[in-house]
Amino acid sequence: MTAVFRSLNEIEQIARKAARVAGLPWGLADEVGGALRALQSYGFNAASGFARWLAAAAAHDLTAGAPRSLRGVWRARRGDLHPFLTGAALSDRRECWGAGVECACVAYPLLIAGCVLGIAAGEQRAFIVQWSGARIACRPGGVAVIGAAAAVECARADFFHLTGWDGLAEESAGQLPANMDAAVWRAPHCGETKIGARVWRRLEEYAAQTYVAASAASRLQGAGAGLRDND
Amino acid sequence: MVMRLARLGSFHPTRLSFMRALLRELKQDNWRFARGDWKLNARGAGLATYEAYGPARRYTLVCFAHALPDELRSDRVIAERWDATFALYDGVPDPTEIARLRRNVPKQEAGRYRQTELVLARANRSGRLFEYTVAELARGRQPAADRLAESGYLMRTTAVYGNGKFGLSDYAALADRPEFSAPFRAELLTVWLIRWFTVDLIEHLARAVNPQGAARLAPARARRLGVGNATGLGMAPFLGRHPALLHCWIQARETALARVRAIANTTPTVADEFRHLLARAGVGLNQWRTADRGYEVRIRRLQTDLGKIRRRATAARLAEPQPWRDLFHWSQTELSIEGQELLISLLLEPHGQLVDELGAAMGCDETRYLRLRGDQSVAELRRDIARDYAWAMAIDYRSRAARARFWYVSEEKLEPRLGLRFDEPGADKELPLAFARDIKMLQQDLHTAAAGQTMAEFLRARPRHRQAARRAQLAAQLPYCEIRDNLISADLLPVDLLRCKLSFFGANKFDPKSDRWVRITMYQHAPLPYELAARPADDWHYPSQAAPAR
Repeated sequence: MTAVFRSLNEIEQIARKAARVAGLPWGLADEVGGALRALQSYGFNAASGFARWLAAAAAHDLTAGAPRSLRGVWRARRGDLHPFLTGAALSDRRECWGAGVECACVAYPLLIAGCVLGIAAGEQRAFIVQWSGARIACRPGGVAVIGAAAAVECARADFFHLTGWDGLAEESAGQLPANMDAAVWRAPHCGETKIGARVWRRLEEYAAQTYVAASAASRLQGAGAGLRDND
Repeated sequence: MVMRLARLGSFHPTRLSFMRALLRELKQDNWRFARGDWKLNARGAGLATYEAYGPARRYTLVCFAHALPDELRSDRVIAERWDATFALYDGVPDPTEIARLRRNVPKQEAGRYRQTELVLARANRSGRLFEYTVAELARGRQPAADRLAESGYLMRTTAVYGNGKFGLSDYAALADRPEFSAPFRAELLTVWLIRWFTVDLIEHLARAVNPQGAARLAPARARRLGVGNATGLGMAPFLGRHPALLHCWIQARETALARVRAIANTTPTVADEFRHLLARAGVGLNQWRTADRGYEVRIRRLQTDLGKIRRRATAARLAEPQPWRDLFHWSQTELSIEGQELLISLLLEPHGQLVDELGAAMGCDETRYLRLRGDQSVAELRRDIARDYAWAMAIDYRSRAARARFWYVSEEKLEPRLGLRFDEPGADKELPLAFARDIKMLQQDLHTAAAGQTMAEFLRARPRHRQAARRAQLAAQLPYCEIRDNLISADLLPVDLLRCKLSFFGANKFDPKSDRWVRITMYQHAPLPYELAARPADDWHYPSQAAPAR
């Protein structure tokens, strides 16, 4: 597969535009950009799943995938839980972070995990998220992963659990959670990240739908300078 | 009301402005600068490099000079060729890296870059000054000092890109470097080094014409030259998209002003310095030229205001208790908004020891402010919006004039643009910059929800309000985060957004070419890199004397 290298800022910006085209309001699309940036910075192959989710999301009613209630086990009104509406709700429900949240039937759980990475970094908290065949511990500046790529990047999972973890306590420094001894901590990077060329092209095609085509009037007026302007 | 756009659009640079803080810190940390390669032909095309050595790192400005035919020169960002293109490189590039940069940098947006490139820029020669200056030097003469001061630059940058665009290094990768901890540092270092290149370039071209008899540009004349910039709507949405950063900038400025206003008594030395600054500010105003009628009127009024300040700020008045507070209060009724803002800049100027440290708080980690407070009740947010957004609630969006414009991204150049909602297609792709309208819509929906409901529950069902809710919560914490005007109204002047941001950069001589396009000058009168060690780093914003006759 041919790959391209893109900066994290390029990934964040293209993800927010593509999310907008998939019907998300801009405020949520901003959070999508942050989630994709966080996932790619830790080396997850998140862009591929995101592109697949976009293709499916465009055909669905946005609110159908929102959690029906934020009490008990979270379920969608119809079908699977929307990864970003679920991630946003997890971010908003800080009172649940300690006790944990159980979700049933989620689409693209890795994308929800991307939202959790943002909570961990922004709120200086540590969490464990898990779904069928995958378990990720995250804390500010690090993630540890157990699970095969197919499970981590799966298109749906029967459950998604978020639990708080005392991974920031002094005695836990550098430690891994129970049952994750085989994992190693990964640090985020700020450099380029590798994405499949076809995936990138698809994201560009989505993003392009947020742009407005030029007209003679907009060329003249758009930036305000006319077509030539020297001094 | 500091956050009204008419006032933000009247800001003048202050000693907290980023260019000035940058030069102060470069000098304090003993940075050294050297020209590296100089491989230009007689037409001024080729390669040049400039190196900056700091305590821990070095950077190189890689310049590709092109001999551009006059008919291809345009300030517009949509141009495809330029007189010179630049990259700021992290370290010192080897020949292989130079070759890679040569394949990409001249193409600007059409090229691809790596994390070793921090900034990408391009510039065009000034039609007013470049050839004239070359010709004068080639004749063995100095160009007229007043002409240099009035035009202000040999070349104008038409774009300066950073933060991950086109594969450049992300800002996050630089944030832990002290030299880049404040906003736009890498970009402004680039522009300062470009200024050096422009002076070397005209001397090179003059020598090419007259190898034996060409003059070097006298250092005092070189300092009269900054770097120009032509800025359109591309940067206008920035202040709206970065509310936490805007708050930090304004808060630093307001805190600085409050500190100066609180001074109980000033010394005769400081009072004399202030009065001397008034004279220097007058010199600067006399060099500020514009063809824009509105700005001509503003500048003339500003000159009148400066005269009023001079008459008010007598030695006797400044010897009285709380002289700065009194002068500030007097200005609020006696001066134009431009005059009031110029006075604020002047009030800060002699008080560097009191205010300069505030510059350290002008950068912030915006990710700290991204998360919503889901546990806040609907009633609480309603109350906060009523308190913080009364100005937005008063706008009637049923009026076409109140929603006459929309912001969008142009497919052609991938840059923000402003359209007319009822005359042009594209409003369905509107960018989220209509903050006042969106917060009013949020407030209307909040009034339909149960008072005790949490915002997490409210937003679960209404995700369309996430951005507005986040901003409203932010405004309750950060009082300077929101521009208190309708950014889609028919009477919006986008140039005010540009001027506000550019004043924080430290730019001056704002010269609008339309309501959405402005030319500016950067670093005029500042020391050049090679003389920073020997000259004061920060005594340059107000010109020290009237331009001598040629």
